[in-house]
Amino acid sequence: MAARATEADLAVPGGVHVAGLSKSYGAAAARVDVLADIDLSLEAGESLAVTGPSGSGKSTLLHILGTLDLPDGGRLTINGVDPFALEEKALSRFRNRNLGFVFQDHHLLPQYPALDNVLLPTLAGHGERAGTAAAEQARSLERAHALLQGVGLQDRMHHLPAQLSGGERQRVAVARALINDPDLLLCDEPTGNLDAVTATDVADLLFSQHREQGNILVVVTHSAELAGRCQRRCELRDGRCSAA
Amino acid sequence: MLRSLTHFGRINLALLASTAVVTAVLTGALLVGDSLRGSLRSLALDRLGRIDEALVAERFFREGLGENVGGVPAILLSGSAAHGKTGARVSGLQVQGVPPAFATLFPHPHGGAHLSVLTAASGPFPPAVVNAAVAAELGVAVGETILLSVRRPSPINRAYVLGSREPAALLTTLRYTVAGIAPDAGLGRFGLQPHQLLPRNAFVPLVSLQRELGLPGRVNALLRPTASGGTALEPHLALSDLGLAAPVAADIATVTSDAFVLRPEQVETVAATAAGLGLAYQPVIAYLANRIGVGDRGIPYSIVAGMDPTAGLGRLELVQGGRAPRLEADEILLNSWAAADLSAVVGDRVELAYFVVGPREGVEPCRVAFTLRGIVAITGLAAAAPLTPPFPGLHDAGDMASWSPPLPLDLSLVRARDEDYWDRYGALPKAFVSHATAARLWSTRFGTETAVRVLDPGRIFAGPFASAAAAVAGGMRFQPVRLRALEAAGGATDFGGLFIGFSLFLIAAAALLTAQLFRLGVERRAGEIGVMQALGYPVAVVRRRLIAEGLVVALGGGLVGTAGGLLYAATMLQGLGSWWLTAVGSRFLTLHAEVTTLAAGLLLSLLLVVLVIRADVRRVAGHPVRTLLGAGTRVVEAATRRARPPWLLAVGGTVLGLVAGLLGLWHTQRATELFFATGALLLLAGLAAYAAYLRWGGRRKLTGAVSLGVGNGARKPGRSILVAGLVACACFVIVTVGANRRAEGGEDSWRPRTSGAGGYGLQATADVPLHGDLNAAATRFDLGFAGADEKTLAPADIVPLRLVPGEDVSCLNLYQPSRPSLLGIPDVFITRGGFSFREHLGAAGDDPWQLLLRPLADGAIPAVGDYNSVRWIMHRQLGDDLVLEDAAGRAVRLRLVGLLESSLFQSELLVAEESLLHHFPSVAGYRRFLIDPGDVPVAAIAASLERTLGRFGLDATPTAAILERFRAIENTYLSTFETLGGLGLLLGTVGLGFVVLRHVAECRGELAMMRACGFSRHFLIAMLLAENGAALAVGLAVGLAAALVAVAPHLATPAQDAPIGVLAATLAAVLGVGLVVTAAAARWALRQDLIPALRTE
Repeated sequence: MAARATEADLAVPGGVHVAGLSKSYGAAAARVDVLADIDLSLEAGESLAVTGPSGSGKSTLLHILGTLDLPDGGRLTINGVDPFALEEKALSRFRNRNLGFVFQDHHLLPQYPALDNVLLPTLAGHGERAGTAAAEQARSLERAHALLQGVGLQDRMHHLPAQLSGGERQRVAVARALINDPDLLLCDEPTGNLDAVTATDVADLLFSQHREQGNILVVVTHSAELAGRCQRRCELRDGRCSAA
Repeated sequence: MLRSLTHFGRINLALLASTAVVTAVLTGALLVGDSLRGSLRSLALDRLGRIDEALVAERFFREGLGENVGGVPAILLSGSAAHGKTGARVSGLQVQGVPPAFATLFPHPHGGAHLSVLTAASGPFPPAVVNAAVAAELGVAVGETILLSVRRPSPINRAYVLGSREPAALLTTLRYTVAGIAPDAGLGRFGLQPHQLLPRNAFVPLVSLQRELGLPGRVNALLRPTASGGTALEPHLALSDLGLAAPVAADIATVTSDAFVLRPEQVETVAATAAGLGLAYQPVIAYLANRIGVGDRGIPYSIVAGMDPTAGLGRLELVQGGRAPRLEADEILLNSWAAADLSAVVGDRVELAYFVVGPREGVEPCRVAFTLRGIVAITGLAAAAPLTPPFPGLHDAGDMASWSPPLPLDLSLVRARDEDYWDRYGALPKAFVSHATAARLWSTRFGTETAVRVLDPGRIFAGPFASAAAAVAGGMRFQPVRLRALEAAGGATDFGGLFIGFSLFLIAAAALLTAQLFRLGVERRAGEIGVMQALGYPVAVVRRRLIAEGLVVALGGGLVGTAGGLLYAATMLQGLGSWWLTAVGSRFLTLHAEVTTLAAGLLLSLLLVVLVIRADVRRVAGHPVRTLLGAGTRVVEAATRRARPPWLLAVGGTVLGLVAGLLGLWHTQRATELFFATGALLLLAGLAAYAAYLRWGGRRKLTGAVSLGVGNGARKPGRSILVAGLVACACFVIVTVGANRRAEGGEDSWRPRTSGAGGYGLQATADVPLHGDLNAAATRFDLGFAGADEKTLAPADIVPLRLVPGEDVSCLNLYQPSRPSLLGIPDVFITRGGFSFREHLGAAGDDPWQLLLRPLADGAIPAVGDYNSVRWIMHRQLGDDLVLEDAAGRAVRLRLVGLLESSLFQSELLVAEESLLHHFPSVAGYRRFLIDPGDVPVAAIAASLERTLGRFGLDATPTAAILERFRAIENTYLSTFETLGGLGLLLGTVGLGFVVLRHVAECRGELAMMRACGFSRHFLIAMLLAENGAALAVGLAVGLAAALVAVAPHLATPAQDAPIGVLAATLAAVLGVGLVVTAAAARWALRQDLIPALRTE
């Protein structure tokens, strides 16, 4: 069995690069090409809105960019690494260090307060970046405080999710996505469950954090308003991406 | 419905399997009860053949009575047997002298055909048939000879002064040729007492036994078959059947008994009958005086009569003429012969020397002096015959000197003139005292009067009196032995209930498993439920549909489980047959299945499952449609507010529990209450601490999979606490039950007086009662102890106990006993004390044994029993009354004033000897002996006793061995409980796997999010393992800690045998299996694609 590639083997220039990406479901006559020959390049600081009708493959594209789903063909590099060439453990570590997710449903752990939910990704146990574990924990805690302050929840950080409003929970989810300072922030309908005012607040937060962090922001949304705030836009139709 | 059932096929299959387990265990437990009852019933019917009623009397009666009342006559005696050549011996033998008709009571195949050899066989010795058990123990084969030793019947009670207590007179040893061996079934199992133990039986021809016993035409038992029609006994009874005679001379009937002394109720019947007929009657007391003396002149061995003058029944005439005066307490009359012989004159001091029976049935000499009030002529009443009943052996003797008296009489003192008197007057009294004086001096527990004279000119006394006497015939009654046996076959213990109790954890675990599975299935269909409701289906319709689906699956599982129940019961019976064999001594359990039981097991299981299903459906379908539609499998979310952590309960419960545990070390009287208090408080405290941790609002330090998993328990604190609580309770019960196992006693475990053996190393039981004091060298000499055996036995201290045979009330008897055996314990035993009382009615500091001597205001007899027998076999408790029949058939009430702790006396109840003899006066001699061997080895004493007294059927058993048999039964119960409890706990841990699956199903979104955040699958498996492992470990730790503290007082006592290895292995297996199952379930669940849970489209 051939050895799997390491991150170093696959190192190419930074950013997100997608070339000839395709994905289909089903077989033979029932086959549906969800994504077909998608090419895409995003550099640090850029934001992209992925739009399209239901079933057009928006979430599939997002999940492939998030390494949660495998493409049938094509190539993806993130910060010069082809994540699909990594073994499972390395892939988990790669995701933990480089990617952040915000979903339509916050998926907060109900038994832990907001602060612990934000800190959750730091517990994945992939070895720490520098210093002792205690020092790393202290740094993570400090960053979690800062993030919660940044999303306006400095007074709610010890509250359980059930004690927070929908908008507050989503803001905690944003802070959680940013705790490991990801280079790529992937958002799947982040305001889909929120009312208009709260949705605007969360969108403001996402973009302000994006600007501050200088990361790549990819947002899947049906909201024209949210899509309009992104620098670039990809509308998926018949599996293909067309810049709007 | 079919499509739904097949669509959710896997989960339904699992549900079917778990329902099958519930049904199998429940039905199996009920079938164990059926089987025990059925087996005992079969056994009872087998050993009784066609016998419906039995009359077994203390005395022998006419064989012909059987023809009158439709009963088969027989002689039933206890005894022992020895091999004619090897000397191998068995005791506890039932010797049956049977006529050919006895065979008809036991139809083929294991029946009377085996007895045909009793009539066909010919040889130097009469033929005998023994059952296979006896043949095996003796090692005897057909054609070989055996010696049967049986109690020699005596109409005169052997404890009466004229009773023969000479060892040679106590039993008869007869030589027989074994002509056949009956199998240990049917005839071979014949016995009237309900017990599952195989009896030792020997059958011999009735005629030969009657001949050997010197009782031709007499029997002591009638066995009546079911089709006899129940002819009344009383009209057919003759006075001779009751041992009575009423010869009439000169219009005066004199009622006497072959027991020499008339029983009080017989005297009362005579008096009542005479009074009813308007006839005068006169009670008479005759007694043997060893010497009637005036100064240094004396007459040996004379009869003295005690009676008062009664109108119409003759009178004593003074030699000088005139009626003899009424006598005062210190006055006596001599007849003219005696006065002349003694040269006595009125006013002389006349001294009587006589024997009485002492406390250990030895004769003791007594003397009493009177003033001679008059001299009566040998005419009238003074010459009336028979004033004295026939003296055993003397009436038949040609002269006094050739009499073989049962007393230590010096017949050399008999002079020629005494012989002349005997030849001329027989047993005519030579002296007379008042009735009151005679009663004061010579009254016995058997009665006082030796005759009642009744004026009976019409000779009518024999007719009406015979019927009246029959009414108080005491033991002369048919007993419904078949009916009683069938009633007793219900068993002392409800084994169905017991095994349901034993299997409780197994049933609970299977039910919880079913609940988990069904909940998993219903929650997977939450969306479907929501859609149906959204489409306008009423909630009730949706519920009914789901319940109907569950019911179909459960019914399938129930039917499979019913078959499994038969297998489960068969396995349990097989196990009991093996574990119990040494203790109950008989492999008699067979599977009995009642259709109603199978149906009940199925219905109960279905009811249980349906209740579980209904609760789940109601819970899930009760959520708002919006939630059901939107949440998919995530139906339930955490509460918005945490409950207050119960820290106070945790700390308070721990402190109180420890205090209760410490108190248990000292207050052994309250050990049970303190045990339960300690256990309950510590379990509660432990679980409260866990709950407090889970509900704690403070921030937990999260460092990795383990801390995250443990903290995850707070997501559903109720579920975590439930898992921990169930495991803790099961662990607590298993550990405490295991810790209650009692160790096999060591060689010297009997020595402490507070032990179950009370400091007695040996218990001996004789089939033939022994008389006298075995501690006395003279008694031992009479019994045949000599040489090394005498030397071995001499230092031992032997306490003799009276025995009223009855039913074994210990756990060794699986039948429900209704007539317990009674032991009469002497003062020396009560004074010595010993043993340990679990509870008693006395005040603190009282000696509970003394309670047996304190009369109770309402006339009840104080009694002591063993706690285990009273509580679990007799189903009574301290202070309860128990009504028995005394020898005369009157009700006797026993009150339980004390209960012993795991003692030697589990088979019988104890009463004071005096109380026992008062109500059972005919009990003579001692059959039970407790022996403190001192420094002599127990085995040596046992060997000496059995060697010398084996012919009396004496069997000496070390008390440690007796206690070990009881212990073996207790430990069998405990082992069964442990095994089934352990299985339940293991099955419960399998249920943990489904808890994990449910958990994963509920948290798919969060788990998918964690995967997205870079958590590896291994991390998530470890997290789930930590989460469920924590609940499991907490449960085990809390249960174990509570159990150890609760049983600490018990473990501190000696002779405990907590199977630490087995317990540790069980708990380790539970933890191990729990973790493996959790890991496997987590691994399987996380292998599924979680990503769809993140999708929004």
